[in-house]
Amino acid sequence: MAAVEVNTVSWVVDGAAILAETSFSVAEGSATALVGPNGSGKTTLLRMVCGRLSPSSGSVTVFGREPDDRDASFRADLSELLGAPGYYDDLTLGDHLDFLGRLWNVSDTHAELERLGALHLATRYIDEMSSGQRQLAFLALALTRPSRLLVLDEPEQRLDASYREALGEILAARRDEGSSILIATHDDALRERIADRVVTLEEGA
Amino acid sequence: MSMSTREGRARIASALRLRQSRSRIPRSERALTVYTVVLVALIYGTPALIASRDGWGAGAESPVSLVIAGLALSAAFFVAGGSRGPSAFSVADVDLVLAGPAPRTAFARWRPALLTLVFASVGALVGAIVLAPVQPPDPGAGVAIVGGALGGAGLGVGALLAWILGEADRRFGLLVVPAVAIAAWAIADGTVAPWAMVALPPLWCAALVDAGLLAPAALALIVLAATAFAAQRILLARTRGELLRRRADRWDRARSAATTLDLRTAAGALGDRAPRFFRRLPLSRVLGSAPIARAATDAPARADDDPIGHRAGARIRAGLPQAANGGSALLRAVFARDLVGGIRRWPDLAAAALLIALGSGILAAAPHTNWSLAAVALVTVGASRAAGGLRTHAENLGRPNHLDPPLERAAWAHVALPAAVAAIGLLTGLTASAGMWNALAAILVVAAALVLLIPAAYRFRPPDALMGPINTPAGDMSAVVVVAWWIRTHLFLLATWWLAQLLAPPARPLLVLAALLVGILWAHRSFLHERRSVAG
Repeated sequence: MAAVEVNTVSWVVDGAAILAETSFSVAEGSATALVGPNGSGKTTLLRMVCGRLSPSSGSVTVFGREPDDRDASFRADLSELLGAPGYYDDLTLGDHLDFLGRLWNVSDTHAELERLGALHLATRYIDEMSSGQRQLAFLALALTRPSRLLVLDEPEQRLDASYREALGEILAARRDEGSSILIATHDDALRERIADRVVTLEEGA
Repeated sequence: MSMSTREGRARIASALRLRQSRSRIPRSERALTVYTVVLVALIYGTPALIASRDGWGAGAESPVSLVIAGLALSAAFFVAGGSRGPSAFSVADVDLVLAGPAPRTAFARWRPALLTLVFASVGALVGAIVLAPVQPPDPGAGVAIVGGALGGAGLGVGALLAWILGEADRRFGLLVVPAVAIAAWAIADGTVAPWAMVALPPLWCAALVDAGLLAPAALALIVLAATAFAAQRILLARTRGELLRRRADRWDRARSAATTLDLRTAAGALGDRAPRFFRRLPLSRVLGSAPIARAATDAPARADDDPIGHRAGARIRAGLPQAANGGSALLRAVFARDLVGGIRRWPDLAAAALLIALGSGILAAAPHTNWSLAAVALVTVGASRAAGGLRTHAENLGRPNHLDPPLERAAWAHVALPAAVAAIGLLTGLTASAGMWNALAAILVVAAALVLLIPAAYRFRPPDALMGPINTPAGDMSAVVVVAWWIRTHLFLLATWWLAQLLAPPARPLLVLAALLVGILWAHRSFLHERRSVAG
């Protein structure tokens, strides 16, 4: 069974195609990169895969069923980073990771932060971080919770070269361990490092 | 990987304990917040309730007024539910906990029961105080207090249900029609039919006059409360995460703005949703056939905070260089722009016309009563509902690529649409006129309310001088001053009307006319001030 199956999906608003008709699949344990110019619909497509948006036409399935974030088992299968997630401004990043650890039954909660090379951020409050540090924090939150499918929208943004390198290694390791990855990226090095398959989206309109 | 509700509860409880223990907000600060809220409720709420008891005591003998009050309360909660319903959480809760592996209801385990209890309890308390008989020696006092508490609890739980329905789907608003019809049927002859006392929660107050109905009313209250409890759980389980996230985000922004007393931004954040109506307007018919840039034509109208969207803006921008030179061309272009936005937000325009009709009707028919002060407020609020174009114009003055020229004429042109809506409202409202002078005064009040839209729109941030602390023995009073500043145009009009009632009927319109002239000067001065601050 494919991790993600996208069949002739499109997204149209007021007659304007935000996402032109697209089909592809992500095999279990593989990584697929979505590439294309700004406005080609990469984020829109990822939102559909995460159950945040229903397509105008076509269908999306994740592990054989329609994406629905009201379903707890669907949420348990998927970890996503689409823009900045919410966070508690009275907790440090380390506290957040421990918080997630208790929700997801993870014991080594700081492992992903350490792999990213950002363990020094554990004692910092997220709203006091720079934008690049926040991106690292959000990545750590998304990577700490266990999942069968990782959906990431331009995870490399605002990261310097060394952190991008670390991110590439983590994602490649995840893929090799059997996780499926769907990622939208403008970073050629990251794409070449992890992607088994590349899907190019043309400008929607 | 899904888990049982029991396991989910255990994990969530463990995570929440961790959050409490590591939060940098001390518990004493939370306790202080609770203490402040309780004290404010006791100090200001209780005297208000007791003071209103005399007036509302009559309601115990007249369940008809309670039916109307119940419907109004439920309608208000229904509308509020569209912005923030009972299943509203913080963005962090939505993204970290509700997006987790545990069933959502495991997180909000006690919340539905607590909310139901709070609504019922507050309603019962208010009902017992307000609806209890004024004369203690009354032999039926005990029954009346129980009846009042039951009626109040029924009103409270009814309001909660309306709040839930408002969050679930706005289309439930259609229930208003049968509800009003049943209520009208139940009170057709000026009393209340016995069957309605149990069928319609607000009518439980009728138990005040018939002790035999206490038991069925109590039973119905339990059934209704159980329904409200179950509905909240179902709603939370069935609402998509994206919707929960959007609502949470909206509320977070509104709360942040309200904390800094930026009430305008707070109100804007709560109501800020993209209009769903008439997204594909036949613009060529509305605005003529001037060329539009391709990019703007193809772009979907996504500007949530702009009443009209990009496409109409592009077409009007194409015509504005000529329009800026000619008064009537400018008026046509601006009016068309506001009309397109108004049509897309037609519920706002309908509400504006309705409020102005109601307000001007009361002013014309019963100018001497206390209701007339509320009517002035209805008129000012109604006028502001139709002024989205003016607000957008004022807020974007000085920005590059702004669609309107920074001309005072443009500001006045933006009053044209609210004026047209007000005219429709006046035509309806003045059918209830009790005389020429009263009708004239009502028309002038509406005109003044329209003129005062300009200062309200231009000076939308309080002056710095008002933002400093004002220390008094009762604490910092700066919030009172800032709130008074926010409603300054309303207060001006209210004071004018109040003073006018002290004069002989022919002199009343003259005083309101004077207020209108002051309003015009005020508007002119606001524009000059804003233009200076933009230039500076």
